Amino acid sequence: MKKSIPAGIVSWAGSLKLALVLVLLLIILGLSAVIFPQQSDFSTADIKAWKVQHTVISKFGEILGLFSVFRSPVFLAVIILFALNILTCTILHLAELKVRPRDRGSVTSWGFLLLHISLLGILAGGFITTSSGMTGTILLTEGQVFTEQKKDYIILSSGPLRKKAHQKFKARLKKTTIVYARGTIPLQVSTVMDFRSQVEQIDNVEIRINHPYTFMGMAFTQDEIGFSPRISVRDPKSGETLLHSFVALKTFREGNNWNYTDFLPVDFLKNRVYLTLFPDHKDEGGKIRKTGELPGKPVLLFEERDPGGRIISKGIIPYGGKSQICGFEFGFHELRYWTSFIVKADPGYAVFGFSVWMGLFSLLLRYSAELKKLFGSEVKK
Amino acid sequence: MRGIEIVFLWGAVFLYALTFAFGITGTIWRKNVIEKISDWLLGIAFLLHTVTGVLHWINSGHPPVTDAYELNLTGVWITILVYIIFRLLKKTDLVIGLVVVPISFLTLGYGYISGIQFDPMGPAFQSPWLIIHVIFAWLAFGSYAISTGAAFFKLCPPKEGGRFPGSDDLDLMEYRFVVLGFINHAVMIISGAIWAKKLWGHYWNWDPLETWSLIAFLVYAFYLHARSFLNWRMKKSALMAIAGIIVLAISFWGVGLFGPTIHPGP
Repeated sequence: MKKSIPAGIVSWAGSLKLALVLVLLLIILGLSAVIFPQQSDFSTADIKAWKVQHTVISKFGEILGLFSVFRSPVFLAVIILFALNILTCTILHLAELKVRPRDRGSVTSWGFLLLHISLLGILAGGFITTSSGMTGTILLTEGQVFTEQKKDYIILSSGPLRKKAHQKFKARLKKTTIVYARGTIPLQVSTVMDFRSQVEQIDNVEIRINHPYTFMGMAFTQDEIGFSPRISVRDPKSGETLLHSFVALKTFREGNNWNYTDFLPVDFLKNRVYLTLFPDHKDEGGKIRKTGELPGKPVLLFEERDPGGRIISKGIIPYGGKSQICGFEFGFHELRYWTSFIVKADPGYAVFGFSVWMGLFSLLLRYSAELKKLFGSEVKK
Repeated sequence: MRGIEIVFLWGAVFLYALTFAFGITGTIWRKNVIEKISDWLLGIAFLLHTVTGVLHWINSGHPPVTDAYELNLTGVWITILVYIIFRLLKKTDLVIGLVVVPISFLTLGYGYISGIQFDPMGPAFQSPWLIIHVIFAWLAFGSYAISTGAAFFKLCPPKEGGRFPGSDDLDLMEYRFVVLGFINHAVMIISGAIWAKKLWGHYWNWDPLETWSLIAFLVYAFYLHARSFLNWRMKKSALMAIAGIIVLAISFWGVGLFGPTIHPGP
């Protein structure tokens, strides 16, 4: 019997053929995420350089959003189609159960149904979080206060359906502690924070890697750490202080080697000044050698570079001392740690979490008969 | 102690290779004695492998689940353990070992050349979810490896049947081990997501390795659906099972070679 057009569409939407096409599309998208440098993993400069080397496929990649595959409309469309495919397949299975009453009592049939409902739950949880949640990154130097408002995030992405405005509670980073093994391998990284809202005050919360803390529905997950030297820059001619603040240096890791360096982001210098911190050092006849990762006898090394990247001058700024760079007087006054946190509001958490565990349970139900045969006493012929 | 570990490791690799040589000889010439020797060699190799893992645990001060060497060392151990358990339960056959054992000793050798380190466990790895994640990842791999063995011999049956399992037996074996692998794969993904939430703040990061693991899961999901609803058997299902392990192998060993991933892998 020939199916009507709507019935045909429904049957196709819940078909395995569509599922196969979607799996193949996912494989292609996954492959392209390996081939095309992703914006989340590479710097803009690196991606630009790659595009110059691969002009033809770059254009194609740009059109399809392959430089950020998992945030591209193509990928979103595949995921939406997947959700539709699972939903339709579940409804069709329910309809089949209606006409085949014998299957209604079957464990595997219930397993199949619950499993697909769980998958929809997982997708729904993900959708709720993406549309109504928010994710941000903050960077705090010891002593600094975060006031949960837009300007305090260095990166922030909010879902389009998020109604709740910022909660404006205060969080203060009190102290960061790092314990090293063999001098360079971090064994434990922890921060102590105070949280304060209009109704609640919680002091001395310890946040560690793998141990986030949730305050007013916002989870604080510890991310990176580094050093913030307090630097001053004074114009010796006018006597005016042009800068006096903590500057968070980036942390780079190569194996067990740590490097704390960045350029000074100010516009009054003609050339770029790069600062590198040695938290502890030894002066070996004028040659400065790094001797540890924990703050002991810190020193700042500077390099003044012209726009072409050539080094014009270099030297050191001793801790508590001053140096002349680009005609300005640079001072290095204090050294503190900075810590960055991922701050996340995850409203889809309950739906997602419940669905995941229900999914696992229903998977066991669905294949209980096969598992019984595999672990049972049935002897292979 | 570290020198002894290397000796035990190479002893295990050598004996696994010998197991394979005896296994293939016994199967071709249909000699029970040679097959028995192959089984015993596998047992001894597994014992040496276990000692290697314990020594590495003692030397590094933590379970061997962090860097590439440790993950391959533990992974192969779990894969062989799965094979031995089901061999003892008589749910798999010596011929399957002809696929599982070479995969295992090649993986072990790859782990060795990726470099042995004895660093203490960093804070990111200090989570019980890591242990669960790694164990289930390799339980899945072990189960899929057995199903691949069955799929391989379904596609390339020997000219004379001899003591080879029949194609129906192989088909059932392939299916049941895909089911077992699929359930372990699901636990691996779930435990990884829980760990990722605690470590990175998100359940899912669309990291290349995570994505490829999900793709492998979807390929196997399709395999199971195709068997149930499209009645795919024999050649079609065997090809699908082999495609599944290829995608899984890419997610385990391939993704990291192409670009950066926040997810440490074997």
